[in-house]
Amino acid sequence: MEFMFLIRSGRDTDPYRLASTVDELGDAYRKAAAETSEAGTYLEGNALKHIGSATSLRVRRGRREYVDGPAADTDEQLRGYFVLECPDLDAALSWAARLPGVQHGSVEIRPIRAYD
Amino acid sequence: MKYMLLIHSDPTAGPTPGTPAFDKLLADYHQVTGDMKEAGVYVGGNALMPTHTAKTLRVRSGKRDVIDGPFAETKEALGGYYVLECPDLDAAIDWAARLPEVQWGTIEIRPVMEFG
Amino acid sequence: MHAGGPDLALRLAELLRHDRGRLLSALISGLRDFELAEEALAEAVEAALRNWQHTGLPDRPDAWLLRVARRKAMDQIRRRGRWKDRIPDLARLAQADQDDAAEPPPPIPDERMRLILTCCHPSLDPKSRVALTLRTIGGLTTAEVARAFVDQEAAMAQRLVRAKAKIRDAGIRFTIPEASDWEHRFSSVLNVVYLIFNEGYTASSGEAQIRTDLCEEAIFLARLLTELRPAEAESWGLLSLLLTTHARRRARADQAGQIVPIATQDRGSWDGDLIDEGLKALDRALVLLRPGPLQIKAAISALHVQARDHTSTDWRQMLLLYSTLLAYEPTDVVRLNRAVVLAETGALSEALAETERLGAALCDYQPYHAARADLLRRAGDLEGADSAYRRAIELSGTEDQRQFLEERLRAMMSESR
Repeated sequence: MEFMFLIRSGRDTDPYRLASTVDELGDAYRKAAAETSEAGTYLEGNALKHIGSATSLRVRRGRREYVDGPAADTDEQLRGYFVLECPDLDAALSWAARLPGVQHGSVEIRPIRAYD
Repeated sequence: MKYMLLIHSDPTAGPTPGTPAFDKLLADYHQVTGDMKEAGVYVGGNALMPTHTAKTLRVRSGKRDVIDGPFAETKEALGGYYVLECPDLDAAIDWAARLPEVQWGTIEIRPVMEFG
Repeated sequence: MHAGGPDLALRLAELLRHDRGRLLSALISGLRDFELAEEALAEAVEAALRNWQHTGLPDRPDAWLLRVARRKAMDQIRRRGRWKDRIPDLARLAQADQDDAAEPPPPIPDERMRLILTCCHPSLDPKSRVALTLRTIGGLTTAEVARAFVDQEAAMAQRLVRAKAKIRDAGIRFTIPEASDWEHRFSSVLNVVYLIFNEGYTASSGEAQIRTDLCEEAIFLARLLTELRPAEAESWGLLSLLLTTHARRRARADQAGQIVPIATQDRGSWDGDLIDEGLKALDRALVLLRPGPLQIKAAISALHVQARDHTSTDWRQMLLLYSTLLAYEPTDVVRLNRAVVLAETGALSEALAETERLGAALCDYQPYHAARADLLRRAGDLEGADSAYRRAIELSGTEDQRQFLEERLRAMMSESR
């Protein structure tokens, strides 16, 4: 089963501010990608740039409406994600606990909807 | 540059599964995805199962804390995503404007970190 | 030949005020990086202050600054890690450097249109668009931009830093948009300039001086847009509107600082030169045969400034213009303004009926109650006028507005006795 792992954290625990360089963040993601690949579960994974570079778009009555920022002003914002192939939810939870940034925020695990 | 397009919408606002409107929605997505692939911008994408299927993990002082449900209750839920390779933000915005959910939901556009 | 210390600094400041936008655009065009371009220009300015003390002002100070700024930028790129990724940038900069080594140095290309479009990108927060435009094209210092918004300088500096980081990290390209996108992007620019003017014109707080400066910044930008894009009818419309509006500034307040409405303004104090330029700009717009809301607003303002006095204003024409404006901006505010003009044409009861229809939508809009109060007074409904005046006073955002309305209310009360 494919699961998406949505890694989020709050303003104070923005990984960009915690990692002393972008390289550190990259290392953490590469490590996680390598570990999950070795275990045969890795499908996809990316860190996202800081929330200040986000744009949100709506189209209402044919006109584009822009927001300079994320879609919702929640305390925790999305920092990165993985998509892993796991036999079940327990396996998914084990992996979730090992993803970069989990100790500072949260990881939401969502099953991927399978289409043909 | 890689961009992640996050599709947020109120689950009750869109067409109901089983209706012709819903079939059109699927067809529209199929069309857009096809166009993205033809244009050479498609990198990845998935639809997600609804938020009630989610589990959220937090790790505090080494202890795992799992709750049922998404990381937070929000008016709009994350329903899916794309990852696209685009020359600039305007191109990514143009693709976002073509997604059906943009009409009643919000498409969040997040640049992806590219580690050197 | 040998400019002294403070004199040199002054002349350099003047030069920057005039040329910073052009220099910055040329740099950003080559570097594709706002922050780097600004840092490099700042370093070049420092170098100028040091060197020109001894050598005096060069023949082409702008070319000197650009050349030095480019070299500073190249140094910066080499100093930072990963300069291998910047090889294309370095190559382009080196080529530009070669080209500029020619005597006399070539004119600096005007990349300001690209810069303005970038600053006004719709994915940036509207306030940030205005702030960035004022800072980079308008040549205002961060402190001046902060004062314009009545913000702390530190907060404004942060806002500017964030906006520039977004431009870099989100991949907002420093480019002229595709034809299909042009109108939308260009109207974002016009909107920003209009906002800047309104910020200065409808001053809700802040020193009077910075307010006039903002209006003049906006006019500078509007003129620039007509130079850069003379075929855009709406730019001429915007310029016309700003000029004929700004022309009336001295009459807007009396000796005591009280608001004077257009009906009773001393038309002799209106700036004739600005009016002339404004009317010519409107002509330039109209021959292009590409109508738009700014041109209509400009035409409305033109009717005001061409009238000898309030009563001889061509209200019928103005009514027609407002009806046309409604097609572009079907808003309740436009409907309200149209109703006011309707009353001037003599259709007072029709105007009152129209304002009643707008009551629910505009219940918290101060000008609505102020306008309605006036109409009710003229219709002889003093009780109705009284409550409308009071509501307008309640909603007034400035002391000026409050005093004006209180005076109106007092006058009405004493007349009725």
